[in-house]
Amino acid sequence: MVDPLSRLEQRLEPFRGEVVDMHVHPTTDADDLAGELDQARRAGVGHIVMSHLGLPTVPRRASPAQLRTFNEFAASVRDRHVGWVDMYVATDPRTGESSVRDVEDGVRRLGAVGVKIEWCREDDGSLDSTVPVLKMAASLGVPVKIHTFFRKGGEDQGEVSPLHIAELANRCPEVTIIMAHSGGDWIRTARTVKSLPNVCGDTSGCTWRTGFTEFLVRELGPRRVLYGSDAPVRAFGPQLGKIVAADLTDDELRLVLVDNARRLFHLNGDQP
Amino acid sequence: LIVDADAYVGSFWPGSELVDGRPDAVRARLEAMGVEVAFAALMEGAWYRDQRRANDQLADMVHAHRDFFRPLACIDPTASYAEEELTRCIDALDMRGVRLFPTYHHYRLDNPRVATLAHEAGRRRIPVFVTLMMEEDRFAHPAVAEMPLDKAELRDMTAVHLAPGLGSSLLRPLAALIASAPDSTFVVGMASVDQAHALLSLPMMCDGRVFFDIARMDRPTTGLDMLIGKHGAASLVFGSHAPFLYPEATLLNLAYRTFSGEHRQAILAANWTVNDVLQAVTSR
Repeated sequence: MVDPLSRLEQRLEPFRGEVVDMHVHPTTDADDLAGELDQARRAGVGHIVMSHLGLPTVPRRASPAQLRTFNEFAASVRDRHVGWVDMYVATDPRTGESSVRDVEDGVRRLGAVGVKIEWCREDDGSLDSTVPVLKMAASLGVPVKIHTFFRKGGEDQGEVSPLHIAELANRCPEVTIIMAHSGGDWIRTARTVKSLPNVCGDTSGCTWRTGFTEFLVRELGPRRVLYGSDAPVRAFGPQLGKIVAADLTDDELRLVLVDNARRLFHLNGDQP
Repeated sequence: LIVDADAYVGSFWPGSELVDGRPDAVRARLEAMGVEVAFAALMEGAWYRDQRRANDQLADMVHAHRDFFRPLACIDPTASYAEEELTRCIDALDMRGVRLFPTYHHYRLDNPRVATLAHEAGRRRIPVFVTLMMEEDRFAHPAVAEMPLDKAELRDMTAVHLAPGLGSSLLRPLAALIASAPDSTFVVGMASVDQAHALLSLPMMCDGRVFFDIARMDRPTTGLDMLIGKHGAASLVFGSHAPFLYPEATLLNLAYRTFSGEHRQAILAANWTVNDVLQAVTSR
């Protein structure tokens, strides 16, 4: 009898070494980071895009100096794993104009392939300070990943829901926005952003709820869904599992696991 | 062979319209990934006030699948007729365990009535399955409120590193229940790595009668490796939490790990044979 685990791993085999995990965080503990990267390799992940923002230990309102430290650390990890690890430039638009400069610096000097924003809604609910950051990302040709959640009981202070993403996507149609976690409540999320072609969703984090992946692919289309794990918060196996367990065609599977991220982050060597 | 400690059948769960709980659908999916025996409760049971009706409904639903499903009685131990219903479920409906939903039926596990029911289950040699949670609260339907956990519990759930301690409104009563029913066997469902670590650090957990399913043990990334490194795999069993979760994804939680194939096999099935009660209720 074929080992049940082997059967599932065989479904991933055609993509071994090619899978792009575009939602990873680097831990600062060397042993933890080694364990995280080791599990990624075992799982056949061939490329990682990482940012500090989103780790439970990172403050929800990091200072510009903290953000720069995060970015330098991410760059140092990337430099130790050239060709395997890439980085987002982490920023918080609420820090003001320095955020726009940091994005430009992160892409041009540090070589970031995308921008990561965690919390960005001002205390009065405004998204005005986020717009210049998105426009800078668009001018640099990189996508922006934003932590996005339809949270039971309402968003946390500064948190962005898919409704806010829709507003941003309309104000900046030239930028590609990736909603981290596909907004948590993926059904309402997909309906909210379905008509906005510059909005994508990632599959990262959260429990592997039945129907999640098929619904996103059906509603957004297979070119607007990207695999992500949320490691080191989550293990790679179940997060990959909710992709390979879904009722997807081989072509859809390849788009979600590999090709969409390669295209959006320009990982094939092409210039933005 | 895989034994699944955490399956459900049923018709409805609020806010989860994509979940297909028909017994033939759940069975087909689990069998396709190698599950040969699944302990199943009725998902609506968490909501019913009349658990007798839930148990009759479950018995009807799995009647044609008794070679695969081992049904679990749904009982609120604080009900005056709890022991009577347990007896009926064992003797008349051939149920193989009792599943508790303390966060839905809103009782504390250190309520003496819970220990009384657990003691009776132990006397009848069936295990007590304790559901710590059914779904992440942040994804639950807005009208749904599981019994609230305290802030320490939430910290447990978001911790990145193993954090010993029972700073929780749910774990301390669970530990008290286990201590007060020394002849009973427990299978704890949907515990996090941190929760399992906290409980397994207690000396009383080493007597081979308390097990944890792995349905929610995906965090942090290397948490399950660390847990097994500290405590071994003898207290862990596979639980899919199907059909709420992709069962294949839960199975892949055992892949890409640093622990041995023997540990993996123990979790998937072998641990059911080292405990007399679990072995007896698994058999046909």
